[in-house]
Amino acid sequence: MIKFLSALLISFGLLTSITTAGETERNWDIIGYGGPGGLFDTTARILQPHVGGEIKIFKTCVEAANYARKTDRPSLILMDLDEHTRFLLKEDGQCSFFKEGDLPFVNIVGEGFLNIYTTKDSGNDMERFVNDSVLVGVYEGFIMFQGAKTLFESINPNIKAVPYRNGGAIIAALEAGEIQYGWTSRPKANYEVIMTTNPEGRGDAAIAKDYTDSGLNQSAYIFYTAAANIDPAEASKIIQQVLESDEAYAKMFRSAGYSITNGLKTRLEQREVLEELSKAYLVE
Amino acid sequence: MDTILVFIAALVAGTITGLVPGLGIFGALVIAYAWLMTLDPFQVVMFYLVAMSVSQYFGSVASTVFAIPGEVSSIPALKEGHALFKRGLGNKAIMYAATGSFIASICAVLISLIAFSNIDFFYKLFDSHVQAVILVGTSTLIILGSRNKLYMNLLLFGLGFFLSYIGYHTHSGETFATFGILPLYGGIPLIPVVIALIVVPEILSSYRQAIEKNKTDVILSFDSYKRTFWDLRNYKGTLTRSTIIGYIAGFIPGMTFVAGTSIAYYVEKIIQRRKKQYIDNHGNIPCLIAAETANNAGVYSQMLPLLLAGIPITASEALVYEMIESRGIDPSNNFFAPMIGLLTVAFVLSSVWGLFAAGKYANVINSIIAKIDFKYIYFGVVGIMFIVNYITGLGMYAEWYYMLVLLCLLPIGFILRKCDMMPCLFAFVLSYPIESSFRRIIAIHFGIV
Repeated sequence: MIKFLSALLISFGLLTSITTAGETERNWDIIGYGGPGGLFDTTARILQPHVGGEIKIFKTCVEAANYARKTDRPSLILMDLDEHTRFLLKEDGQCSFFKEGDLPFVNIVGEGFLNIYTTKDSGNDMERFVNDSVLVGVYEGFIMFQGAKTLFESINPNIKAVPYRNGGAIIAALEAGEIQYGWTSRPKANYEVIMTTNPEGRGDAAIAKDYTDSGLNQSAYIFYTAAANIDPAEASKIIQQVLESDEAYAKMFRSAGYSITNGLKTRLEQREVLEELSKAYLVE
Repeated sequence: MDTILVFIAALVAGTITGLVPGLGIFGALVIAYAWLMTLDPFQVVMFYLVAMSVSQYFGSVASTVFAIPGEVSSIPALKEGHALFKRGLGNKAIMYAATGSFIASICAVLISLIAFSNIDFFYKLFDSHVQAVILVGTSTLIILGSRNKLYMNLLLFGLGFFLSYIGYHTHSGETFATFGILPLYGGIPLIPVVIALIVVPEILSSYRQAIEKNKTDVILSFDSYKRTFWDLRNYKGTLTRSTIIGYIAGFIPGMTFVAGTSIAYYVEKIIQRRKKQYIDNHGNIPCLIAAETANNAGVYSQMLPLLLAGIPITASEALVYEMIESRGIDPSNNFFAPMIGLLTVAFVLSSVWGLFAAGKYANVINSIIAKIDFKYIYFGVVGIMFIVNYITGLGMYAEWYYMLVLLCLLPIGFILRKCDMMPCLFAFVLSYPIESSFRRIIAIHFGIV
């Protein structure tokens, strides 16, 4: 019995030391941008205990890109699907969201379905959105804007998308009465969501796929990781484990209105998702 | 007790932010982020408001004495204040700027109290059309109000626009004048532009002039403050006009007190010219008061959309908003409303600190520089600006790019050293807001982007 317990203890000790050694050996930095407390910062904080290393959150994507190009440290780079990604990956002329030879794609870490929202009790309901000539505030980034414009026009050709610098500017314009609706993956609590691209719905909101056959009717704000000086397959495996097991991660995204759906997909499948999405944005 | 410590930390942060060019309040928030995340939301907002208020006072002292602009809104103080300083009127300039700023801060609070129930009128006023009119109007004022010939002002304005346009454009996914050089994708940074086109030409033109010893009877003391308050009645028109301009312009999304400072400064400049009281490179007290007054009025009013409606209208406010939201709190609607009283008290106290500490700081500086040939100080300023440029670039992991941009722009600054470069700088700063407001108007009316 004593021998058995001793063996068990030794085995446990060995196992613990191996696991701990594995974790400490993995010393990957996480690079992101967008300001402290933002989406990338929060994501980085959840990933960090699993990958070690430091979090480096930069003010702009330019800083993050400068750093990612220079560092010789093993690093995960957080990216989103907009022009920042193309800039970061030096893909200026085409919309290929990742480039294996440069900073290889690792794994999708989250996606937020997009929503039309408006001021509560304003009378700006789905009927008006579908039938009237209305204005919708959209983040001005090229891919996000073109995608939104294409989707709206497929629902109602009289909708005009108006470009704004950020979510705060859209809310200011909504409050000023300049626009009737906003478009975001993360609506604020005191606004009413009237349509969502989430096929499973969101409260009482209408579902975009019921109004249009556009390939963008389930479009989402997708963010993912690329790698510098790391084996992407190994990194992908670890991130998928985090996505599947970390409750804090799921809670964070769900509470913010995001969905996470990609933990179980293979890298190849995820890559296909991104490629399809890139075609949908540009071809339509 | 904790709140008092946060208040003191904000005073220190504001002082440093005002003195160090390029740091800015956004940078201070990022540096202090880890600590700010441990504070409660009221303390975070107070830190932001107090630091921003204090930085305006110290920014104008550094601009007046050393020709170092803490931020873009300090450039008028550099042009007018440093010219006054060279004529031995530095103390007077500092005293008038600080006192005018203080009066404007108090007036901004009073206007807000009076108009409290209708304050949403102001931030609902600035839709894209109004913004475009104001920005075009400001550009026209700058072009008409600068001392160069009209065609030169237009050329310099065009140069500023051109420089700001270089880089990658998020809205179109296209690049302009990057020639495949990767660092240019990020565009030309502001700091080397300010150093090469504003600070160095200012120092080159000042270098050969003898700096006169302080020849006014204004000493930076309590009695002098009392006397300056009394003397400012002669400038009540300037004070009233600039406070109103600064207060209202504080609500312009993305531009806030920078727009207010520019508009008030150029309006005053045109008025002084009409009265034939403006002499180029001589320093003009009403213009200095106008810029500083509008500045501080705008610092308070720009906070109101965030506090009253949860609408962040600047990058720094968006950061504060995110910090609070990331803890699971929804900062919209009436979240900030119960804090407004205490925040206003903190703002007034910070203004009192700014008023007296900036004067005290100027006294210390005066006693030190009285013993040194000012030419050496100019050398030091140029050296410090190069270091600041390098360090700012280092923070962006592009230190050599920043230095290279500075070196490339320096010949332009040298060739144009006799020109008033303000149209170029303001075009550089205003180009994005002008372009984006027009893009929105076109989208609204024609659906084309």
